Amino acid sequence: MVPVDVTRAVLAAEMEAVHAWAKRRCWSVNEDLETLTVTARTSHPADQQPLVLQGIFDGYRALPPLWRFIDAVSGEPSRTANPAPGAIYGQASIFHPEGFICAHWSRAAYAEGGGPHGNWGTASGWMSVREGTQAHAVAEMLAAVCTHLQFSPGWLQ
Amino acid sequence: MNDAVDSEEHRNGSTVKVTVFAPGLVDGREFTFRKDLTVGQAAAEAAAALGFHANAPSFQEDGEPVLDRTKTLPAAGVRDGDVLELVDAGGGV
Repeated sequence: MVPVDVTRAVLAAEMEAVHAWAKRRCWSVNEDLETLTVTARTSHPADQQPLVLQGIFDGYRALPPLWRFIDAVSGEPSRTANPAPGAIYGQASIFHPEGFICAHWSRAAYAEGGGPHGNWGTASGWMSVREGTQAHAVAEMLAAVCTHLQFSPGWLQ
Repeated sequence: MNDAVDSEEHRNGSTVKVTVFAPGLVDGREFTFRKDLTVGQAAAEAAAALGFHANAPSFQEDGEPVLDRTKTLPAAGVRDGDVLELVDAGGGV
């Protein structure tokens, strides 16, 4: 397990780039280095309703973050706070119909995290998985969400 | 691209100069691309130079759709002075 102070320092070092990216893309991003969480806010392009994405970074970068879409009103994870999947140039969305991000940089996608990808091995090998969209840093992950969001037709029901 | 060649090719209109940002970087960098490059080729070149991880690199301008990777830069609407953000147009799994 990665010592908390190491994860905190690694996460802190990435935040300048994250905030620069967020400013360029009109997203709002806040980090809490005590709880090792990053919360990103934007609006869904389909209806302009608020979208909140929270990443939990314990064990980062030995492990990928656990990303969850949060209900903007209740502040709790919710299935209906997830964007619905929409194909991106004929390829699958990272937004899984079961309500999680299906990408190698999402802990929930791995079988050990309850996801479908036993074929990727353990989550600790996340940076060596070459299938699908690539992201090795927080800003790259948010950028991937931003890109796929533009192809999402709405919200999960 | 060699600076002298770059300038000559830019004067004769065969290249386009743009500023490219990558998600993991604070500052953008200027690139000069040949106009016969596709968006995918130019984005791959920029991604390699900027250390951006992507399976299907492309560009996006603020508020605009992700550019079609198969089009040449001019056909995709890229012009001198454009500010482009690198994105990964790769799919989920």
